Formats: sequence, C-alpha cells, structure tokens
Amino acid sequence: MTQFKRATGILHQAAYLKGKRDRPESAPLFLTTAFNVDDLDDLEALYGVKGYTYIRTRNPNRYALADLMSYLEGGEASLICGCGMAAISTALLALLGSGDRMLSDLTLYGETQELFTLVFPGLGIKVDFADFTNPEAVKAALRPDTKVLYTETISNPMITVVDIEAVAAIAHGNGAKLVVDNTFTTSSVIKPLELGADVSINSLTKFANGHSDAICGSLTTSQAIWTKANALQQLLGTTVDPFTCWLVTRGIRTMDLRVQKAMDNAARLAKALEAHPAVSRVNHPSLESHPQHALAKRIFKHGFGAMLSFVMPDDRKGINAFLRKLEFAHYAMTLGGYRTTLSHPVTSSHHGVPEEERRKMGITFGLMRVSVGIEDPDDLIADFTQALEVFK
Amino acid sequence: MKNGLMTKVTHLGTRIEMPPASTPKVPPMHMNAAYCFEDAETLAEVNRGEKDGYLYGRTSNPTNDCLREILTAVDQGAASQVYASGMGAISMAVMSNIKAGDHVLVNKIIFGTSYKFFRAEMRDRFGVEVSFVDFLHEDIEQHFRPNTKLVYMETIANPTCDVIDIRKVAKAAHAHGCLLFVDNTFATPPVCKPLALGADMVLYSATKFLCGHSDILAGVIVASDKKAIDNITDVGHSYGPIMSPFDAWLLIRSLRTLGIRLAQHCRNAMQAAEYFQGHKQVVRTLYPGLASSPSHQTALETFQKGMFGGMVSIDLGSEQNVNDVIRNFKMTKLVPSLGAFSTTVSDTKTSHGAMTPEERKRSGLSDGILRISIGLEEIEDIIEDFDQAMKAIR
Repeated sequence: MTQFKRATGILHQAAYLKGKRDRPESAPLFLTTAFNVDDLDDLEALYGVKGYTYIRTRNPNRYALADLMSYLEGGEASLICGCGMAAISTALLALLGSGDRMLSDLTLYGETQELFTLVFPGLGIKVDFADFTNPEAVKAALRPDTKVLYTETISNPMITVVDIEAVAAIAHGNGAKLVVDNTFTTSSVIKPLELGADVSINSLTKFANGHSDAICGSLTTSQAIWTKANALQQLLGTTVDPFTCWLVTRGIRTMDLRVQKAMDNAARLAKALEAHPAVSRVNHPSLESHPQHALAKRIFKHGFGAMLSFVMPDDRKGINAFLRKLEFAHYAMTLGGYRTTLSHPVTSSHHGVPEEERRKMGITFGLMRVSVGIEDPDDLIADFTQALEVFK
Repeated sequence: MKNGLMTKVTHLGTRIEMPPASTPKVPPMHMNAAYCFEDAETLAEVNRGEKDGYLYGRTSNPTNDCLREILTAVDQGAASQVYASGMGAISMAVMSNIKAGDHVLVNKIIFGTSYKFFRAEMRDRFGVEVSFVDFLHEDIEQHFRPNTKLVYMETIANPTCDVIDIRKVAKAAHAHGCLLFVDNTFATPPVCKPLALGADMVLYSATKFLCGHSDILAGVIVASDKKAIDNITDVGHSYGPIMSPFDAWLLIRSLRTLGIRLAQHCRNAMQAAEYFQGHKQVVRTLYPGLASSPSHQTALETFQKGMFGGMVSIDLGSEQNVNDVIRNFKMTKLVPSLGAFSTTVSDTKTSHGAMTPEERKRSGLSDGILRISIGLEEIEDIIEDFDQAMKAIR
C-alpha cells in the first residue's frame, strides 16, 4: 500500500482478511455485493464452477442456508427467498405458465389465497379449490390438465391436517406435482418430501428462525425443479440478503429444541382449554376430539404442532377484555416465535373472506388462533385461565 | 430546515416515533455512540443521575439495558452489568472492590487467564496479596487474614469439574466480612443460582453457554446488591471494556432459548459421562452427575434437580493420548472455547496456558486431561465420534 497515496490506501488497506487457513467456529458474514476475479479467464472459470461473482446469483450465506434446508427437509436442493410469499410464488411460477391449471386446498393462509384468486388469473393460470382433508374431494376436483396441487401441512386457522401421502399419490396419478407449505409444522415434525410431495415450502420467518427478527422463505425440492425455480428467482429478484441468511441459520440451530418445547406446551394448553367452561371448542391434533387425531399421530414426529385455535363466546366486548387481561401471552400479527401470540381470524387473516364462506370453514367470531411459545407451561396455562375469567 | 443535500442526509431519519399501537416484538439495536440534548442543564441533570437518560456509549446503552433486565431476572439478582468479555467482567468486578494492600483468597483451580489476572495484575503489579488455595480439600478458614476482602471461585471448576459448596464458602467469607464472587460459566443459571446460595456476585463469560452460538464475546456480572453494581459501573467507565449493542442484541436473542439448550446439554453430558466411565481408555471421568464423583453430593444439594452442566472432563493418561484422540475426531473440534451448540474439546495447555507449568502442576492439572464441552448433537453421534477417535490410543 505504500506506493499509493493516502486517498487510495484508505480504501484498499485491510480489504482482505488474513489467515485464510483459519477456520472460524461460526460462519462469517459476507456483506459484499460482489467477489473479485484476477482476469477474464478467472471469471469464466468461476462461472464454470458456479463460484461467487455477484450475490443475486449466489452468495455464501444464502447457499449455506440452502444446504441446511435441503438437509433438514430431505431434498436435493433449496432456494432461499426474501419471504414465504416469495418462495410460494417462485415455486409455483416455476411450475406453471399461462394456460395451465392448478388445484389448491380450500383453507389456506389468506395471502396465498389472494395470489391464487387475484394474481394467477391475470397470468392465465386457472385455479380450482377443494377440501384437501377429504381425498375423495381432491380426486373429484382433479382435471386432466391439473399440473400442480397445493396445500399446507396444517391449515389456518382450523388446524386441520392433510394426509400428504394420500394427496401426493393422487397428484402423481394425474401426472401432477404436489407443493406443500410446511410452515406451521417444520421439518422437526414432518418432511413432506419423504411423504411424496415434490416441493416443501417454509416461511422461515416463523418457527424455523423462531426469534421474530427476520423475514425469509425457502423452497426445497428436486434438482430439476430447483433449476427452473433458481432461473426464475434470478429474474424476479426474490433473493434475500446475507445478514438475514446468517441470522436465520443461527435461529435454526435451536429449531428442533424450540419446536419440541412449543409442541409440548401446546398439547398441555389445549387440554387445559378444553376443560375450561368458557371454551366451547379447541382445535389441536393432540386432542382425541380432533377430526385428524389418528392421522396426525401417524404422520407427525414427537408431537402435534404448536398451533392451536379455540372458541370463546361470540362476544366482541368479552374477547377484548380477555385480550387485555392476558399478562404475557399477547396479540400479534405473526406466529412461530418464542413468545405465545394470539390472532383473531375474523378481524385479521380471514377478514376478506365472506361470512358465508367463513362459516363453511368453521370460522366464527369467537375463534382465536394461538401460536404457542416456549414459556413455562404452568405460567402459560395460568395466564389463559385467569384471562378467561372475564367470561364468568 | 436547510435544503442542502448533505444537511438533509445527516439530520433526517433520527427520530423513530413508534405509533402507539405498534410495539416492536424485538428490542431495537441501538448502535449509538452518543445522544442529543435540548440544553446543557438537561445534560447535566442526566449526568448527575437526577434525570433518566442516556449520555454516551461507554456509560450505557438501551439495548444493553434490555439485556441486563433479562440477566438480572434469570439469576434472581438486584442488578447486573455487561462487559466486552468474561475477563472484562472479572477484572471490573474485582478491581471495583479491591485495592493495594488487600488480600484475596482464590481457588487454585480456575480458568487459566483468571488465575493469571490475580497473579500477574493484582499481585505482581498492583500490590494485592493473593492466596491460591484448594477450596475443595483444604480448610479455607485458616487462610483468612485481617485484610482479606474477597473470596473467588468457580461453581464448577475449570477443568476438573469439581463442584465447590458455595454455601460453605459464603458462610466463611461473610463471617470474615468478605465478599464472595462466583464464576458460574460452566454451571449456568438453569443449573445453579449462586446468589441464592449466598454468593455476593455471580460472573459469566457469556461467550460460552449463555450465548451458545460461538459468535460473540461478552461478560456478565449479577449482584444481589444494586449499589454494588452501581459501584462497578462507575469504575468501569474509567476502564471502558464495554459491550457492543450489536453483541448485546445477539446475546438477548440467544437467551430466549437458554433453558431448553441447557436442558439438552445436561441430558447429553450425563449420557456421555456414563459412556466415558465405562470406557477402558479413560483413566478418570470427571462429571458431577456421576455417583462416583466426589462432587456428586454437593451437586445434588446445590444444583437444579437432575442437571449437572454440559462440561465433562476425561483423563486419558497422557498428553500424547490427548493429541492422538484430537487428531482422530471426525465431528468434534479442538477449539479454545466452550459452551456452544457443537461439541468441542480443549486440552489444559490451551485452557490454562496463561498459567506457568509449575502453577498448573501445583493446581494438580494434568496434561492428560481432555476437557469436553458437550453440544446439542444427537448423543449417539457424539459417542460414536469419541468411540472411533479413542481407538487411536495405543
């Protein structure tokens, strides 16, 4: 650096980290938009080995997270995207084009539904709907040109469970692919690809990252589908920054421990709520009263998920009082974090759905969805119990 | 407001007025060197402690304060302080309470750099009398002097995993008008609460189990007396081993899973210890959870039921054996640290390298000891790796 003037040196000195032999215990964070090459030959060689050039294409932290997701979900390759919706839209648009048809589950995350009803028709993609908890209904709704089936492992907010294996068989019988959103469960609990699904989607924002501080999404699939999805992602620009990837990777280190704890808590809370006089119904697959209890027992590992919903009296004043009386569980427009949060489907996620449709799904005003956290279960049960006293 | 571009970019975007309806789920990361005030009088009031406020990054930071709130509650203390590293916490805690001419009583089996701090800094350079004593086997009562002010130990000793009865030491310390500081890094709060057992201050290298992800350095002090923390804070302003709010933010994040991580570390360590105990190449297994451990009874009486920490040490007989095993690991790594989600090992020359060979010998630290930080992997995988690596011992 001594041959340069200070104004140059100040930009170039200490640009490279010493000790390339050193192996840091924790992966470094590559906050760089591009990587350097010596010359054109070097550049072409890098393209050849798919090395790092410009980070929308590939970056070390995003690729590390992708490898981690492939490992966890049991897939050949993964794409990490800016958010769950980015993963969903990238996955589906890699499989569908104008004139194609897909079949979707009836009960879905609200914005996924909007993607199918408001955006896809504009792109010439036809979308049919059926109740995926009923394989016969799925078969009946299939058309010869149905190319993709889409569902979620656990539905929002009725917490119903889909027989992925059965639906995958139906899809493949029609030459179609099955895409499954594994967000509510995660690979800690179920691996859709192992049960026949072709793509497993995660909003890593939720249980995977688990710390409510990053937005990120992933799709895990075969090498063939990945190649198409990757090419599309490069053009749509639905990539995600290295810092988010680094944070999410860190969050996933405790995913299995957190999900296990949250599931144990959810089962205990579900039991306590079911016994409460103010609660008319609890939806959690751990309960024998749940319509898919046996199925969940068969296909889920170690537990029944950490999402539950329950029905209080259809009373706005009462529900508001209940929410205010809770001491630490609280209302929040997210799920899968370390703290227990609640959301009210009728006034939020399913606000745009006509009342007639809502009633068909079983969604009433008194329904409250809970994302169970990793607090002490006794504290959690005590909090809900004392708050429900407002209905006495 | 002036219209110049540079004026706009330097002044706008400083205030975040959160709409009353929205509370962020996660505390913001306050990367701030200093704060602005309306006038000199207000600044003076904050400086004198008459008004609540933040002044300068070396004195306090909102993110660090969020961290302290959690730490104070977890150890059931009255107040806490955070520093840039475990040594930062230890040096600040000790130097705020000791002056030249005082005497300190220190357990001879502690982390090597802690030992060096007492010997090279306190004793050799700053005129403090230091006695290194075996708290486990000696009667410390006879070592108190009229000028003894402080007693220092670790809950679970590094690297022997001996457990010292904090209750007994606290009683002796207080009977002589001394303070007891306990470094609880190996044990951690889910396993042991030194303040509840009589310690005056509990210290941590939060770099280890508290953070658990090998990516930040931090030191923690929790005290049962708020004034003690105020005093340390004041002294710390002069030395400045401050914790970055970025690291504090990451440590807050780590603490969210403290209980579930430690439960798993302890479950794995217990199984690993039982495995080592039965292994023919292992001369001794040092883990307080084993009934055969001389520390087992003390651990049963002073630790959370069924939890004995994530640290296991094994005596392989010689330095040669330790090196041979280390070279053969497929998954476990040799790392000069501990307490992360991955299983790592350290030899005593590394962890206690700051001590001289004579000091290590006097403390009874054999070079044949392999100190293991048991991680969160599947226990079968951990045992499998040690099993195949120990086949290298001839």
